[in-house]
Amino acid sequence: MAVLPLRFRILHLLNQADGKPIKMTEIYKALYDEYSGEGQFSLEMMEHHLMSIKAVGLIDAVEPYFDENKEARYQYVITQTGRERTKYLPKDL
Amino acid sequence: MSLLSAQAVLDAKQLKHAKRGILAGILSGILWGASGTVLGAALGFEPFTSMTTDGLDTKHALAIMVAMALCGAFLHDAFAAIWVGVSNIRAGKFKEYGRSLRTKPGQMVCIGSILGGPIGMSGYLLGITLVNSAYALPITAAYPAVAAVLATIFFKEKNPARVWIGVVLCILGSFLVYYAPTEAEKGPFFAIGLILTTLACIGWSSEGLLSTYGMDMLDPDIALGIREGVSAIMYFIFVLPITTLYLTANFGPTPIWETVMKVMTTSALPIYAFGGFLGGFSYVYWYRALNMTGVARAMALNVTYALWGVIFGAVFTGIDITIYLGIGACSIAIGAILVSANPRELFQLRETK
Repeated sequence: MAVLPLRFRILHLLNQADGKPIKMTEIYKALYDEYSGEGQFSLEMMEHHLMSIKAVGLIDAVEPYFDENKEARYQYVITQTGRERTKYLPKDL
Repeated sequence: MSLLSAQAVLDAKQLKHAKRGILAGILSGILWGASGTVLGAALGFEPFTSMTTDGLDTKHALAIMVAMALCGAFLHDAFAAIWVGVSNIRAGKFKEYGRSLRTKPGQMVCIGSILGGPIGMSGYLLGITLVNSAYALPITAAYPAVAAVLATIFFKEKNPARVWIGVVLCILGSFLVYYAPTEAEKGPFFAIGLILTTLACIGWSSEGLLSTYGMDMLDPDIALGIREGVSAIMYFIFVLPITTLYLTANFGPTPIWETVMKVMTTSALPIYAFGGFLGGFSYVYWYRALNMTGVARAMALNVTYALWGVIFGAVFTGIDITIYLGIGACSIAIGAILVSANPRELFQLRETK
């Protein structure tokens, strides 16, 4: 069961990747079991969150790709600023 | 399909995202202007029409005005919390409330809501009651500039000179729209009034910063739901009881709680509900704009409410268009255009490591 707000969980996931870029569709699949029963969980909302987090500098968009539906997507990687924000994650995670 | 074409598609997506942020800022101003016009209409209902301060001494009259204003602020935030809550439930975000409140960013939003709601709004309402608006407005109108400067320092927000000129023009315009030359006496509560007005300026700018910081990690719609809910609860549990007891004890002879009860049961409650609807969604769009366009732009686009207030007032209530109103409205319009001229700047709002 999800314990983090979706946006914060995305940052958490990218932090766990340890500097390795993750495709947007992989982020969606990784969080599917935690959030899939909720109306907010969609590819569109995921992309919206990622663009917002990128704009404020917590993550970077790198290397575009086409997903299985021929949609253009980015791969994302956490920045140093983003890493610093993970200090606000609950200690018991 | 080549990676070059993928990049072009993604650029277009980012541009659309940025434009939605600017649109959110403009909508926040339009809805706040409309909300003000609607809440102004509530004053045409009981108990406001029969509630007179004629024949009362200055202190007692001020106490009644303060009590009415604070009740109005509580009703606005309470209705806004309900409307935004319904909207978030419909969007399938209900569980995000609990999750967000358990995190530090969520708690920052709570602190921001107390600074902007009970402290900021109460300070403004009390200040504007105790000090003539000609003195109070220049101070409160400056809050977007204070917030923009603080965002540059703490968030390393990147704003070109054009945006700064736009921010200044919007603030100057909003001041001119409400400016009325006065030779009024400063009165016995001038100093405390100025302090409270300054508190409002600090409270609102701090709210903008804390909420923006929290929204880096939280959904803006949830942050706003928390903001309105916490604010309404704080008004109900602390601000209204304490203010009512204090005013009744010091500014009798009529118990002020009678005023509070009359306002809480006014026949204008549906109007407050509608005002809360408009005001709540104005805040939703303001919070989205803070997150998507940065503090300086969102603040400047939000204060265009003064321009929209003039337009709604002219259409629905027939206000007189003075020279100050005209110049102020033009200044706001030019400022808003300068602020939102290049959406591509929103792809990267801050300097980053």
